[in-house]
Amino acid sequence: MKEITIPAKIIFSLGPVPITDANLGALLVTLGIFIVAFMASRKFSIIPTRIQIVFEMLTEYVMEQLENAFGDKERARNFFPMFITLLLFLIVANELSLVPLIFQITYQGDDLFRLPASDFSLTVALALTIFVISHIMALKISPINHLKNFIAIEPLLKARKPMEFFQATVDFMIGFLNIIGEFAKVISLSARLFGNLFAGEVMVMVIISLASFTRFIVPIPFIVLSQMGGLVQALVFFLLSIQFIALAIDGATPPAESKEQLSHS
Amino acid sequence: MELEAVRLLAAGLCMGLGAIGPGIGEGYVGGKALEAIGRNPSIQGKIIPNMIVAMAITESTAIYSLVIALIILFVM
Repeated sequence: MKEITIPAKIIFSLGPVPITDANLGALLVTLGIFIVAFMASRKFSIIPTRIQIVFEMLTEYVMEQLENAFGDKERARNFFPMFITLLLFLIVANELSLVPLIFQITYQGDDLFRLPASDFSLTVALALTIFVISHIMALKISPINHLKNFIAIEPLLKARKPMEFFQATVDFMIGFLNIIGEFAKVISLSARLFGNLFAGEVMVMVIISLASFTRFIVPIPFIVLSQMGGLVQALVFFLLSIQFIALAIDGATPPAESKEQLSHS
Repeated sequence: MELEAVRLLAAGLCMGLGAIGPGIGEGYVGGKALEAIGRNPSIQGKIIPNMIVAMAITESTAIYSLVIALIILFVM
C-alpha cells in the first residue's frame, strides 16, 4: 500500500522554492492543455474537425453560464478567458489519473506526479484567487456600496425611532456575519474540491490494497465513481466561483440598476 | 483507552455522524428533482445540472467531516 499523506511531498527545490509532486502534476496538466489547444487552434475551418467541435461546445457552454450569471454580454466577455481556463484546468487535472502509468513514474523512490487537486494548497490558491478577484471587481464598481454590505453603519446613523434603531442594530450585526461568510466561502470552496479528490484517491487505494484478489476488477466501479466525482466537482467549482463573483458585483451595483437580488448564501 | 484507539474511533464517528445530514438532504434534492421532471419531462435538461450543483453543495458538510476525519487519521 502506498503511503497516504495530506501534505504534498517535496521532490526538489529551486533555490528557496520547494517543488512538490502536486506542482509537477499541475505543470503536466498545463502542458497537456497547451499542446492540445495549440493543435486544435492551428487550423480553424467552417467544417469543424472533431477537436474543434469539442472546444466550440465548451466555449458556448461557458459563455452561456457567464451571460446567465452576469446578465451583461460585455462583462461576460471580459471574464471569459479566466473561467474557461479554470474549467479546462480543473477538468483535465481531475481526470489526470485516467492517463495510464503516470502515477508509476518515480524519482529517487518518490512518486513524481500527484493529482493536483488532492493537494490542499492548490485548491486554497484557486479559491483565494476567486475571493480576491470578486472583491477587487466589486470595489472597482463602487467601493462605498460594496463596503456597505459588510459595515452597515448608515442605517444606524439615520435611525430616529426606537424601532428603527433596533432594525439598524440587527443590520449592523448581519454585516459582521457577512464578513465571516466571505471567509467561509473560501474554506468551503477549497475544502469541497480537495475533499472529493483526495477521498476518491484514498478510496481506490484502500480497495486495491484490501486483498490480493481485489486488485484487478473490483476497483473499477470505485474508479468510475471517483472520476465522476472529479468531473462534477470541477463543474461545481466553476459554477460556484461564477456565482460568487456575480454576487459580489450585484451587491456593489447601486440598488436602482441592480438586477433581482440573489439570496446571500 | 489508548491514543491510537481514540483516534480511530474519532475518525469513524466523525465520518459516520457527518454523513447523516447530507444523506437526508441529497435524497430530498434528488426526490424533488425527479418530482419536477415527472410533472414536466420536457424540462429535464435544465433540471439535471441544477440538481447536480445542489447535490454537490448539500454534500459539502459530509466533505468537511471527511476532511476532518482524514486529518485525524493521517496528520495528527
